Amino acid sequence: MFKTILTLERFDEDMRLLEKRERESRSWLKHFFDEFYPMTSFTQLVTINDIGGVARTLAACGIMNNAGPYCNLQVVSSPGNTGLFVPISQVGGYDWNGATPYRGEDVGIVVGTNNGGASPLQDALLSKIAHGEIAGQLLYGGCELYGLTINVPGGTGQFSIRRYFTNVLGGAIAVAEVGLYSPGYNATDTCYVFCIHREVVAPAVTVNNGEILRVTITPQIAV
Amino acid sequence: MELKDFKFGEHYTEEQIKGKANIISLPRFIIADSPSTRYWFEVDSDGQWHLIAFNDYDPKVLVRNLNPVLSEKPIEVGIVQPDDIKDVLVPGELGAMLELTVTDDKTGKIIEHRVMKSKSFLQQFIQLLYVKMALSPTSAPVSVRDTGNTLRNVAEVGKKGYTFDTTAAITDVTYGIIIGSDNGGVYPLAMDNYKIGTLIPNATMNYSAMLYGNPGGDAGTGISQITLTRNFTATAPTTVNEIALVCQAVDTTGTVRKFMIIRDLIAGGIAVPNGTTLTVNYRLQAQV
Repeated sequence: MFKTILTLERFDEDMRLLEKRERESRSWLKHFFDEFYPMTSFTQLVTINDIGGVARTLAACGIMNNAGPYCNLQVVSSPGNTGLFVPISQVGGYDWNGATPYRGEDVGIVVGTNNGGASPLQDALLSKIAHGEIAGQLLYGGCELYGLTINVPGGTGQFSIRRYFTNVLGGAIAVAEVGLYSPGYNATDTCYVFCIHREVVAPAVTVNNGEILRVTITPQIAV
Repeated sequence: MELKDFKFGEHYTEEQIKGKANIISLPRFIIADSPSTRYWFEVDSDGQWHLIAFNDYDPKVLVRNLNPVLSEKPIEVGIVQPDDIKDVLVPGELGAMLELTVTDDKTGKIIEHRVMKSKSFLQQFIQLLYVKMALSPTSAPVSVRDTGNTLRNVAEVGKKGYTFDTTAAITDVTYGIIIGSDNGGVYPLAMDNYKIGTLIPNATMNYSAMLYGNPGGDAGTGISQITLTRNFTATAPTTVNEIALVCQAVDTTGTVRKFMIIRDLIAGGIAVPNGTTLTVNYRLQAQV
């Protein structure tokens, strides 16, 4: 059994908890399997839309020690507006999509304002909240993974994915969708970003000016 | 009211049906599963729901026990073709369905067919998923027990991309989907299982190469999935009691290791007579 817990916590600027919601998450998307597929089959290709709606071919590793879907399913990420690279070489080279690194807010947990219905075929959040400090924007912190624990007697195992979003100078923002963006390997030492998980938050969580939203996604297994 | 209490000829509300677990909702149909039986409901023009059929989990037997009152009515079987009827998880769950088919190689006749929910993702699965999602560097690897009972430091070594590779070749019993004869008596099922209980060798059940079905998704059912398949041809009568999925990953020395990520015990076992082939499908699924 594999399930996922979504936790939304809203804090004031002094980190006093104002609101907490926790429930089972519902929405791993087809692109989760699209990114898993080249890894497990190793030779298969799949063409899907990235978060920009552009068709990209995900490739598998055809030549050992030369290339591979190393970044698939990655959700760890740097903070917003910082360049995000992944290692592609064992000799210290770094690259992502040629010379253009992706921004931290384009990988990991992302939030949006549109509560439109969930479909396994979605390519992106319907209305992603931008990283920034003006009205309608949130500051994206780094997306971190922690808490890998195995409880053998209890027959459970889990880890957590977590990100902080800060409303610095904007007005109230209603967060109505949560997603996970992850890069996928594109064969020529490039990666593109795909939406592997999207969750509708209803009712929306309103993050007022000066408040902080903490989003935690916890995958769990149980025997 | 439990699912078994629904009767032909009665009217029900959508809420009465949807209070049950494991529901597929289609525009005109609801498919509801009890632990042993699948129930089919159809809505009429007045918005009333009727039980139209129930059957076991064999998707090839769609209309056994058909409501006699409705049997004269054309049924839009296109909506309920086997390919459309996926064995669902609880909404929101990401998991695996295990499908077992025994086929007579001479006649092509299917001798046995079972579909069940795979229950046992093991600790190695969540550890390797963490490695992938965290892009664990070699300086901070995760210690994962391999099928040889040795802890290995696993990380995403640059350009390898090996994690979760299951591409076992023909006759290779060391990874991919593998089968065994232990019903849990020798090696009880637990979170920390790292190997199959009693491996059935290739000499007894000829292992094919691993096969894969492309990722697919369906907005109507909310289901997306990929399929991993392997065939096992019996050279002697064999009973399969356990099935496992073993993948490869690279440790920090750059060496490819093998890790068991799923192990399922088959209640009662599945008999595979000499000259027949067992086809095992692991369908990794999620439902929104």
